[in-house]
Amino acid sequence: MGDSYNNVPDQVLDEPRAASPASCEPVDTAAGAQACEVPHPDAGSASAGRTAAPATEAGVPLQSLGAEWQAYRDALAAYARAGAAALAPNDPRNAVPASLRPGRHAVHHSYIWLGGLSAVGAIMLVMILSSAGSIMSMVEGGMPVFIALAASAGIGLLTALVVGAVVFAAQWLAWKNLSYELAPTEFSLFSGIVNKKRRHVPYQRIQSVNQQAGVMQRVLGICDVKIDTAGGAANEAVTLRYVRTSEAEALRSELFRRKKVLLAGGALDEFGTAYVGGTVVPSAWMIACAGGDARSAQIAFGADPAAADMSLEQACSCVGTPAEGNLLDGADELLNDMRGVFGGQEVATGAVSYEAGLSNKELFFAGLSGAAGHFGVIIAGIIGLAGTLAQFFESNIEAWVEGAMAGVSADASLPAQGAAALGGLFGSFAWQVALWAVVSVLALWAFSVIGTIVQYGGFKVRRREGRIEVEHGLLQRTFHGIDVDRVQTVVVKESFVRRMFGYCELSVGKIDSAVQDSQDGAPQARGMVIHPFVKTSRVPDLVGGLLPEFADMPEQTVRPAPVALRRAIVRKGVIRSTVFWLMVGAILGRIGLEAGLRSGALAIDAGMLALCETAFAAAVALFIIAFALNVVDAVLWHRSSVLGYDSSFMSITNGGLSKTTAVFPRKKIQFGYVKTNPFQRGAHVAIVNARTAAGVGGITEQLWDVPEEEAARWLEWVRPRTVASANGAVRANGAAPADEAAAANGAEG
Amino acid sequence: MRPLPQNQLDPKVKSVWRIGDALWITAAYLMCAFTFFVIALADPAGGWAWLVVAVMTAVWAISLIVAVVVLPPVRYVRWRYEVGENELDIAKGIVWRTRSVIPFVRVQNTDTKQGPILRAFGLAGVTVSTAAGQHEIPGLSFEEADVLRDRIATQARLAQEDV
Repeated sequence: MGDSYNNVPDQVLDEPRAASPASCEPVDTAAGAQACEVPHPDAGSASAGRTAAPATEAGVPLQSLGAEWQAYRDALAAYARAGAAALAPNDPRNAVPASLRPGRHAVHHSYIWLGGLSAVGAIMLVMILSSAGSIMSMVEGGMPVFIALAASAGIGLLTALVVGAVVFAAQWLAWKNLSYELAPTEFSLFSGIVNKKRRHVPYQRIQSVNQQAGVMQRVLGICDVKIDTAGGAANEAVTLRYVRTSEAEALRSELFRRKKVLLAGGALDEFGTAYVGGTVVPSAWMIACAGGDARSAQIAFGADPAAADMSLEQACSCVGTPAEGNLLDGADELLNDMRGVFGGQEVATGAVSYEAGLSNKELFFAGLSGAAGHFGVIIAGIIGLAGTLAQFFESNIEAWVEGAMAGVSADASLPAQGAAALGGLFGSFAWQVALWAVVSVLALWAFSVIGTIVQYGGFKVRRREGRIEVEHGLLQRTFHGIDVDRVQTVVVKESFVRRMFGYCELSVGKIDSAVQDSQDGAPQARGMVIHPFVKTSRVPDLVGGLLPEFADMPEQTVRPAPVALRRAIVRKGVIRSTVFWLMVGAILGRIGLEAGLRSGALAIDAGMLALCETAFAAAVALFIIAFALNVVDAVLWHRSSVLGYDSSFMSITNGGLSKTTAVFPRKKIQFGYVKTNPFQRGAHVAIVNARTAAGVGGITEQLWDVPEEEAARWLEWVRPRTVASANGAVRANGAAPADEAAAANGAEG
Repeated sequence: MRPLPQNQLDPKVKSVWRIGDALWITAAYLMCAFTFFVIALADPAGGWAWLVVAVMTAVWAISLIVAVVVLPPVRYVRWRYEVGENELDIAKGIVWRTRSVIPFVRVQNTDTKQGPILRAFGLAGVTVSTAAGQHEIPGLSFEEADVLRDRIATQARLAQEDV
């Protein structure tokens, strides 16, 4: 014991001696110079000099050491402080990313020119579009095309220069006034040219740290960092734009490290050195200042020399399971390895315990299903385009329709005949238009599939220490990192299409910030997708690897009451079915039309009447189809919906044509309620609602028409239990452990 | 099945509801009917405008009766709460009835609020906010409101730091 104790300081002493002369040079203060002269403390004085720990001003308990060690510490602190302000180009401490150094930091200078360039580009685009009209009018006014173009190009160039100068000046000013700092207890962002704005984010409040890069940014090795917080009404994210990738990576792991330290009851000093319990973990900056000798820095800041080397965390990246790969992964890795122009060295951010990617098949289907949502947009676009074209050729069409109508009214009096005549006239033209529409829809959709596949290219989800990281995007890169203790729910979503293949989408619900920028709106529709297309049988495996905390699903036992089936058919098929109300509207319209025609108050020609008849028939047919589908949905819902809860978790499955299962811990339930309407009270059923903080402002996970007494039992489970009531429940149940877990079992059984 | 929560609101809250609802309904009525009233006065052939005003007045009178005579007692009977040791228990609603359990450890903040009508009756409203929505107990006496707020504050302090 004594031997090893004595051996440690020898090493400690040698290295500072070697490092100190070099490291003292840039410091021209008296303290720095003096530190080099100071004879290095030895083991005896280090341990003998230790007394009861006095607290420093910052509230950080420092063990008082021998005078030599204290002087060394002061020198180190002065050196660290001086280095934070300015660093010589050949200083070895340049290896530490700027975001890990103390003091305020500016973001990368591409903020000025890249940010300015995109702003100027947007303004110019608007100007060109708006000036197109005036060029046209100039040409129409008799001016030769060549001169008109030249004149407008000249004016355009001039305005571009002026606008560019103004924008770049503003951007430069904004950059000058933008800085961030990692203070001992919070992250601060300083901004504003005229109105100075500071935002402080306490480390404990950090939910997730995301990073995102567009194509240009990716080439340059720059990204935007978004720090999500939760709490209070203003649930806004802090966005730090144009940060070097290495700095962003370092910033992310540093923010989570500091959060962990503070949550563990520890404290941080101005250099980021952590004090938790008796141990001292020097920050990367402090280690660099000590010439790479972490141990002497530890001892200087009060760690026990004997325990000094044990608490250091080794940041290594060791992947446990090989991730599945796909075609695009190679390209993605290549892009990642290049790191961009200003990217800097990759920063180790912690050990990875699990990683998963997408296989070729999964990637393809993810693209296909992701693009499914674009289908409606494409069709709407085509209809819009058709409308514009119709306007363009309005006179032609009008003439054509008039001709058709004349033909119809000449020889048709019965609606059926009128329809037939109309159909004949539309004939080949309509078919051609329809064909073109279908072809263009398919082509656009194919593009959208490819786009989605590129968007999911390089998809990786991994568990790194206490967080989950998701990154994807071949061109535009998105990176999400969320602390596991901030995960509110785990949601398994089997949409109808995915279900047919036996696949599902896996996502986690987190507290989303109130302001979602449009760029990442789509993938964040509900929480954070951690796998867009995974075989349902693989879900337990994936959850077990990524979120072992959520792996034990409670046994699901509570099903909707038998009467719920009838109620579901009525609810889904009639009351909540838009198609039903559409049909009601159609029937009312028809009755009105008939009455109008009978009384002679309404005159309508045969073609129009035929159209009305067709529309009515379509509405009825639509309702019949929708009703059949809804009945199937209701039956499936009744068969597969279930909820379950155990000591610490709850899960709700809502089935049907698509199926969603949400699992969430009991401690993430903000409040629970049971709701009934008069019909439900008659049928002795109720809606079970568990409200979690996921999404913006919370999400309600609910199951309809659970038997009354089951709902009441569940509400009892939501109720917090005291030790006394827990014991009572345990005694009643005959179970052994007297913790909350057992109490919940008691409530269930 | 657990019985309904014990406590009822202060009976004076019925009057608060009556006055508040009557004011709202009247304000809405005046805003809607004023335009048509002016049209009817200005336009000699505006018989239809008088009809509209008449219909609106009828609607106003009926909703006033409902809001002043019918609803408050029913609402009062249905509104029950109980400040348990660890949770707030609320049962309310006439058509849609809800029974909520809000554990104090999830409560982020509590506010006591008093509008002019509540103040005139010496009542206060206590709002209990969680990370996923808030609940208001509309009519409590001052002392009760303070007790509730203190109880929640003590409990909430024992909670985890964050969501």
